[in-house]
Amino acid sequence: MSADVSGGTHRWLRRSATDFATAWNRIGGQARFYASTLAAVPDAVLHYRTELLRLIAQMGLGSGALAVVGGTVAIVGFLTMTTGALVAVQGYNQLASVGFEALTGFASAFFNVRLIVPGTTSVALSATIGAGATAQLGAMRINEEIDALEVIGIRSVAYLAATRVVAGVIVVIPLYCIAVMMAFLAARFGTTAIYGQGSGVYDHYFDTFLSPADLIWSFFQCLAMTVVIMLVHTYYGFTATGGPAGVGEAVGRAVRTSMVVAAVEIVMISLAVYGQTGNFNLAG
Amino acid sequence: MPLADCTTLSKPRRSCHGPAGPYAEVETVMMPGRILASSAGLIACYKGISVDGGPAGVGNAVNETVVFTFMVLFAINVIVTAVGIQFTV
Repeated sequence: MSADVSGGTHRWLRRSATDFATAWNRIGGQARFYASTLAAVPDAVLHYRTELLRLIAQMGLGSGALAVVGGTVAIVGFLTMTTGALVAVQGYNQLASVGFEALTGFASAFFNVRLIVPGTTSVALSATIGAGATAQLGAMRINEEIDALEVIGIRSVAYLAATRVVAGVIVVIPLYCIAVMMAFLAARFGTTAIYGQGSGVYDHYFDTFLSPADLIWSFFQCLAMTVVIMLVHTYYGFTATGGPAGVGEAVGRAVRTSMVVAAVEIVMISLAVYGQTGNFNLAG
Repeated sequence: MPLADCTTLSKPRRSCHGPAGPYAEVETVMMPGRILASSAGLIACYKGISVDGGPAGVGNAVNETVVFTFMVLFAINVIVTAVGIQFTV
C-alpha cells in the first residue's frame, strides 16, 4: 500500500516536473523567436520590401469575408464607434443623475483617449490583422510552405514574421487616427443629437479637457501594443501543428494570449505615463 | 433618481435604486452577457460548419468568427446599455 502511494507520488512529481520543464522551454522558445524576429526587422525592410508593401495593402483591406464588410479600417472604426457611443450613454446618464451632465465632454476627452481607444484598438487589432497573420502563417506551416521557403534560401523569420510586425506598425498609424476620430464623433453625436445636450456646452468641456500630450501617449501605447500583438500572433502561426484543426486552435490561442498581453501592457504603460502625476487638472 | 433621495437617512434604503428595483443594474450587465454568449456560439458554429479550403480556410474562419463576434458584442452592448440605463438611473 505504502509502495503504491509513494509510486503514485513519484509519478506525479515526475509528471509535474516534465510539465513545468515543457512550459518553461516554451517560454524560452517564444522569447528566442521574438528576439530573432525583432533582430530581423532591418533585414525585412531592406531586402523584402515588395512583400512588406503587399502585406501593408492586405492588412489595411483585409481578405475574404472581412474585405466585404470594409476591411480592417471599417472594423476598427465600427468597434471604436460603439465604445465611443457607450461613453455618451453611460457618461451622460450617470453624470446627469448627480447634475453634472455638462461634463460629458470631459468624459469623452479623458476616458476615450486614455483607456477606451487603446483598449478597443488592441482587441480590434488582435482580432483582425493579428488573427489573419496567424491563419496565414499557420496554413503555410501546415502545407510545409515555410520549410520550402527555407529550402530555396529565403530567411523565413525575416520574410514572414518581421515583415508582418513592420506592416502592422505602419498600418496602425492611420487606424489609430480613425479609431480616435470615430470614438470622439460617436460620443459627441450621442450626447448632443440623441440626449439633446447643447453642442456648445459639449465642445467647451471637450476642448478644455482634451490634452494633446495624452493623445500622443495614447498613440505610442497603440504602437507598442501592435508590436507585441503581431509578435505573439506570428509566433503562434509559425509553430502551428496538427493539420487544419491545429491552425484553428493556434488562432484561438494567439487571440487569447495577445489580448491578455495587450491588457497587461496597457496597464503598465498607463501606470508609467499617468501613474505619478496623473497629468490631470480638473480646474482646466 | 435625484441624489437627495439616497442621502436622506429617513427614507427607506430601497429608494436609492431606480424604479426597476435593487438588482436591475446587475441584470443590465448580465443581460448582454447571456445574449452575447449565445450569439458568439451561433456565429462560431455557423462559421465552423460552413468552412472549406483546407488549413487556410479554417484559419480564415476563426479569424472571421473572432471579428464578427466582437462586432456583434460591441453593438449589442451599446444597445442593451442604452435601453437598460433608462430603467436603472
